[in-house]
Amino acid sequence: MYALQLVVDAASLGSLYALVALGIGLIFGIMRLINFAQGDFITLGAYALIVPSASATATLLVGAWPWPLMVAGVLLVVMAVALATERAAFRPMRQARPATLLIASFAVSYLLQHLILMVHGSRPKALSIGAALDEPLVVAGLRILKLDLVVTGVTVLLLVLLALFLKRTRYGIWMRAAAEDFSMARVLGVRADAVIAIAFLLSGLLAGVVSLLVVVKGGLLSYRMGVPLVLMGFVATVIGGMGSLLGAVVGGFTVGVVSVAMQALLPSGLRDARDAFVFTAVILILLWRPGGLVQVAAMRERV
Amino acid sequence: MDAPRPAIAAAATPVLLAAAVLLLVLGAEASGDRLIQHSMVELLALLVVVVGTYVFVGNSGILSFGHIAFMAIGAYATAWLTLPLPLKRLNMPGLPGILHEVSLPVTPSVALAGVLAGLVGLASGLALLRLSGIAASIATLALLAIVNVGFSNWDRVTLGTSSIVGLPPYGGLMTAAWAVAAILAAFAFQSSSTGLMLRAARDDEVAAKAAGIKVLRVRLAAWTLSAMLVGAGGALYAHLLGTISIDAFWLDMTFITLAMLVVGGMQSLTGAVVGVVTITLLVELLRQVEGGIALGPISLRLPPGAQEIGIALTMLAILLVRPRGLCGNHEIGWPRRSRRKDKGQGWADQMAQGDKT
Repeated sequence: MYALQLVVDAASLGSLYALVALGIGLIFGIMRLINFAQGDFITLGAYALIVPSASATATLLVGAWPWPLMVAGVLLVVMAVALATERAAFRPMRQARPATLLIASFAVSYLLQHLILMVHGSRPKALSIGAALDEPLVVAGLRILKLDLVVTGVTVLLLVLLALFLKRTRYGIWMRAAAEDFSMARVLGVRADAVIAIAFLLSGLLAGVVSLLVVVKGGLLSYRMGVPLVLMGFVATVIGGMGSLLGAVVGGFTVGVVSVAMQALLPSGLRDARDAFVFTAVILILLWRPGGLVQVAAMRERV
Repeated sequence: MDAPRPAIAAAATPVLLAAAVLLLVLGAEASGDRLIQHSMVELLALLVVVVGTYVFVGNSGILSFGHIAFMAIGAYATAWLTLPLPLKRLNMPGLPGILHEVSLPVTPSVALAGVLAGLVGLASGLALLRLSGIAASIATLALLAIVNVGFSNWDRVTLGTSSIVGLPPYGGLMTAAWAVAAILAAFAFQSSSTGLMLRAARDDEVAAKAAGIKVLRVRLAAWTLSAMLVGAGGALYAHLLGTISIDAFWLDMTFITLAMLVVGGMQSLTGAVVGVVTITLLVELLRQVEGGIALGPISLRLPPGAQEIGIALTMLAILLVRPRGLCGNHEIGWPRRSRRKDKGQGWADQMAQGDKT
């Protein structure tokens, strides 16, 4: 029973990490940009739920709308922010080296964090939405939070939709072509601006979904709430294999499984330091497979 | 005839940079203003950290988000070594027995803090440096997270997330001596055969490997030296503040030190020094404006947070307009008497120009 409980936990946590990793992986595949700001997209989505103010208590804004509108509202806000960062910061640097892009995204992330801090203040704010999802469901003696099912279900649905988009639609095929070989794709008529904009929109969409799930789960807003998630998303994309979307998903679930396993196996005194052990495990996995679990031909350096 | 001899030309960079540091310190001392002196010592401590980071990042070309981990290790190490014994026995029961018996003066403690950070660097480098490029950068970030989470929860040794207070103060001139030593060490490394091999691997890894360079080994050497310097810098920073907490060694510090490196120019020692000075000045300026300043009849006041936003925008602007930083990856040389076409008398200059490719 306990083992099954762990599987549910791992699936739920792994789903969240997979969504974050996928958001990072979509942009990386095309632009070779590791986007630190993905975490801040998540934070911004969460803050979109409340009225911007420096007061200590949260007043609902988008969060007070009926849930379909609320979901749409948050997703639109995050997608708009994602598109705006691309326009303002990353488009002018498109020709830069990956290392430059990496620092630039670190700066964008820092900028967004402090903009949130400036508007909302540094104190965490409590917030309760989607309380209906916070109830346990008893199935054959197993107590499962409805939320965990929703998280896993939403993730599976998004993965299927994304796969269909990438395989079946024109823009999806453009995106895959651009990830394979960007300059070749351009020569063959793929529009760079469109492909990159779509990548950012999709990342924003995924980040918005994560915002909602995290707020329902945790109920607390803080200006750096996205940072732990984006760290896990990074290591997930790296151990999954950079440049592979399948790898990002596999990596996300791997990190989720490792986290839950650590939570279960570590003695209680060390449990608070769980993430330190998770990161150590991740580095060990990388020593075993430096290229990641799913390796992509396009990423291998040619001589 | 009037071109300097190579040895003298090569010495230009460290001599001029060290002289600039000393000039700044003497200026601050002479001003007699306590605030200016304090900012100057902070600048020097961060200079050691940034020059230390440069030793790895600049020479290897691999971006590191993990160096602040070594800064934290250095800062905590010097607390373990120098705090008064009763304080240590009471608050840090988890320390090894010998540390409950001895309390060191600051200078040897800073050195030992560097050594400890270097050892952690060596051990972590053996694992991290097998990765390449962006994957390595992400792994260094994981290292920072490991140290941060670990120290936040290691209550019996680090007091967890609480502050450690009561570190003995250290003089500005002594801190300046460490800053000069860091500059000399960084220069000695980048001019050594190991440093040159590492730079070759940075510019073309495949060619360097084909030429027989053991890339992992030279990277590890740089990473370890870099960790030592950053650790010593962390210790100096801890003594400047007199109190440390793990929060101080997280993303904000990572950001500000990286901004210094990027703004000055990541691939030259001169760039590291120029970046530290520029960003410190900018931070001080923004801090003044946040507090409110009077510009004639208008009083200008920026909301809190403007300082961080200003630094972030500066960094983005530099990345956009001058991706090689203010110094353009060049090292400073002796002022030239004649402006002839043949640039670069010093080999360091030539090397810097080689970086342009």
